[in-house]
Amino acid sequence: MAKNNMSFTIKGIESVNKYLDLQNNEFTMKAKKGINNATLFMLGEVKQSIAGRRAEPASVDTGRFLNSVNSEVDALVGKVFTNLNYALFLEYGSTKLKARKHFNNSLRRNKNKVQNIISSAIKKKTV
Amino acid sequence: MNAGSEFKDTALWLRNLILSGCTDPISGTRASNEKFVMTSWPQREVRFPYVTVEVTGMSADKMGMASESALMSLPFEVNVWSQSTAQRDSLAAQIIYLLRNNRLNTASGAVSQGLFDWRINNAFNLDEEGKRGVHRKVIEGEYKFISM
Repeated sequence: MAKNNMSFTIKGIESVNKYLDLQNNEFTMKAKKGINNATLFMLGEVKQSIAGRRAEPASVDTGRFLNSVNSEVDALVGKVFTNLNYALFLEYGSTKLKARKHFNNSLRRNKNKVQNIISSAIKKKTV
Repeated sequence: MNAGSEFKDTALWLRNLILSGCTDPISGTRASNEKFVMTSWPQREVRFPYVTVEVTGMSADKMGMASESALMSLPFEVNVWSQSTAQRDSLAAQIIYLLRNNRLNTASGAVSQGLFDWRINNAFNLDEEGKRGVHRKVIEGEYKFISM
């Protein structure tokens, strides 16, 4: 009995892969931009909270804590941070001081805004 | 737990769970007006160790566009305060074990209060400096609740 062999060729795989790579790069670039914008936004929010312009009490005396808050974006991770050792006590309180939660509350208040900033950047059409 | 009193009911349930399942190291000498577990920052003089429990916030999302029910996230914070790191760690471990093991009991566990999807997001030390500095463990967790 004769065997029936079938073969097929897919054309255009290289150009599809090139297109997908382009899309991936564009997506990553937009996401980075979105995360950068969101991080800067959160930096502003935390500083506003420390300055007493949000629900938390102000934590400003010499301005050292306020000026120590900084931000950093590394790949797809944005951070808002301070290196001061007493910042943890301001955030979580101590036996002598009630918690002020500048970072935690700022994040909770603005979770949706941060998501919107990032998704808007991703959805933005490039010319 | 009732819709409309989620914060209070959750905090009280957590307090009662820890009180019933955790050993107070100084129960023999603690006065009747002194508390081992509290639901607020103590305003009066306290004796170590003690535990504070707080529901620290809430987020809610509607269950459907035409639904009045909401899926709530209730983050809580348990703080263990002690003058000894070993005691602090031992109490914190007991509390985490209690929370983990009292989720699914339909009579007395978290599900009996409508609380589910328990998680511990973070647990870290926050120690005050100096010889008489207080050692503290902050345990951040959350539950979900469907408010109908």
